[in-house]
Amino acid sequence: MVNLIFVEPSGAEREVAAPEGWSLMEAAFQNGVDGIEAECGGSCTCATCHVYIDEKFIDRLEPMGSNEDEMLDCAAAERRDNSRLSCQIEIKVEFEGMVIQTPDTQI
Amino acid sequence: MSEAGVVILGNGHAGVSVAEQLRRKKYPGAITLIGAEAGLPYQRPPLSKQYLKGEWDEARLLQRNAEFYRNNDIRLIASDSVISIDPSAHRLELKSGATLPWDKLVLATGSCLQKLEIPGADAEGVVYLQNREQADALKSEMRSARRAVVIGGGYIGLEGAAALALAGLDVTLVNRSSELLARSASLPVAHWIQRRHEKQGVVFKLGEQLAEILSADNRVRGVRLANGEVLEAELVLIGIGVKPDTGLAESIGLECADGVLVDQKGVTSHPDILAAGDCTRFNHPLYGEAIHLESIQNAVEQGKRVAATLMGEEGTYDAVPWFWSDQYEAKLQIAGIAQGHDLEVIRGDEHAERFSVFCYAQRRLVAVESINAPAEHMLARQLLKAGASPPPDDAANPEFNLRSALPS
Ligand SMILES: Cc1cc2nc3c(=O)[nH]c(=O)nc-3n(C[C@H](O)[C@H](O)[C@H](O)COP(=O)(O)OP(=O)(O)OC[C@H]3O[C@@H](n4cnc5c(N)ncnc54)[C@H](O)[C@@H]3O)c2cc1C
Ligand code: FES
Repeated sequence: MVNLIFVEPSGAEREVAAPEGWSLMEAAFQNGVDGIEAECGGSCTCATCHVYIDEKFIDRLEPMGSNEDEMLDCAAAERRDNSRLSCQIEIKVEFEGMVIQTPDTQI
Repeated sequence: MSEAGVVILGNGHAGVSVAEQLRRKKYPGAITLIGAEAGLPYQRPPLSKQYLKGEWDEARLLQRNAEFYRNNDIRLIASDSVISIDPSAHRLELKSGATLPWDKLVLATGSCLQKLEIPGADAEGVVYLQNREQADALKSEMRSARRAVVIGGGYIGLEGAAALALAGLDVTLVNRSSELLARSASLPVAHWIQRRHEKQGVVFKLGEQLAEILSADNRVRGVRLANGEVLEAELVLIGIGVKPDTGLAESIGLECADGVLVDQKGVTSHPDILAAGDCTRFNHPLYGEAIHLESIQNAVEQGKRVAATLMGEEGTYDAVPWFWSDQYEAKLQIAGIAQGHDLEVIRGDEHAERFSVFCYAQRRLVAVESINAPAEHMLARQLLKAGASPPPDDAANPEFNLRSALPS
């Protein structure tokens, strides 16, 4: 299990433990983290799982694919340099302690 | 409000959405979620996708983990069914013998499977795919079978065929209509999907009826078509559709018409009984008629609307319908409802890896179907929501910026 910290839109921090191999979205969703809708269940087709990734960890992520890139342009909240779709990021041990900020809105 | 609170009948996507939203909105009363199946509420779409292919295990299939329901004080009743409702006494009765009071009742009973009524349909090796138990049965049959026949060219049949073909089985798909996805996609999309399956070796028998399922010692060994042709198989997957589950609603005299009728707030003909998801039919402001949907989008969003109504919030349910299906690496997405359209234009090349079909009814954009074009799908949803109709020539022109058709 890998420990992650999601920051909800209210500013509340939620610590969540999730298995390697799951996506960040699934870790948040199963635990009912506020601020992630994930309407398409992780098939990279809704952009309602948009998150901002801890700058310190951004280099440990696989680069994004072209679909994710396109979908991020459709996200409801502002796209920043550290924007990602959480359903496209597979959890790895190196993520231990990563802080993931949810945006103010997903829809 | 008494201590009975809200009781939600059905723990699928709609039921869970209602419970979750009520807590997010700080509903102070009791919430009870009842489901006939064992275990925690799980997601249905992966049953014909990641779960069937063995990529996901049971834990990953869950909607929320056990802690979520505990933390949110949502009482779960699993492996028990509601067998009767008494609307005047505000009580319901469970199969286990228990009775339960409710202040407000939400029907989220989903769909009933359509069963094939032909000789041999009860042989071993004949499977359906609507719940986890059936998916487990299909997975175990897949391991020993070499040849499969799939009955039905809708989404379940096609996704099932894709999983079977990827697992290395010889797959033949039999469909009564001469086109796949007959009621739910345009021809360019249906043809694209068919070609993709054929590339994987799936054989299609379109416009063909099934006469009989052949078996020996009650074990399936193939099917015989109405034209006499015999297809040998060790596995037969049936996906011929579902119907709204209105049994209990009808038994207490709620208004139903192939779906429990609800208003735009999600209330049935009884003021204390609401309904959401696959079991409903409702007037949609974008389409001006009573529609019935079978989708996650509708289950979740109508569930949210029902929760808002229970909290006394104003507003109506007018979300743009949308749907997705994954087959192989292809993503099909549909925004809106194409039924009754009189014009379609293609954006992109229908023989390429990605394109969209824009469907119009009387010059008004009513639906957009996209293959591998998720960003176009998202824009289509925004266009439909805004009631914006780019002229068909513009929509068909890939150089035309769809965003510019949105009201600023
Ligand atoms: C294999 C499969 C793949 C799918 N793929 C997609 C997809 O890719 N995209 C998409 O948008 N949609 C998909 N769908 C459709 C989607 O899953 C449904 O539209 C959605 O589940 C509807 O939610 P619901 O809550 O209304 O009903 P359901 O999820 O069907 O839940 C209803 C629940 O109520 C319970 N219930 C009914 N009556 C009683 C009773 N009397 N007592 C106790 N419990 C009861 C049932 O056991 C059931 O668990 C798929 C469906 C299936 C089966
Ligand atoms: S869950 Fe839909 S894009 Fe991530």
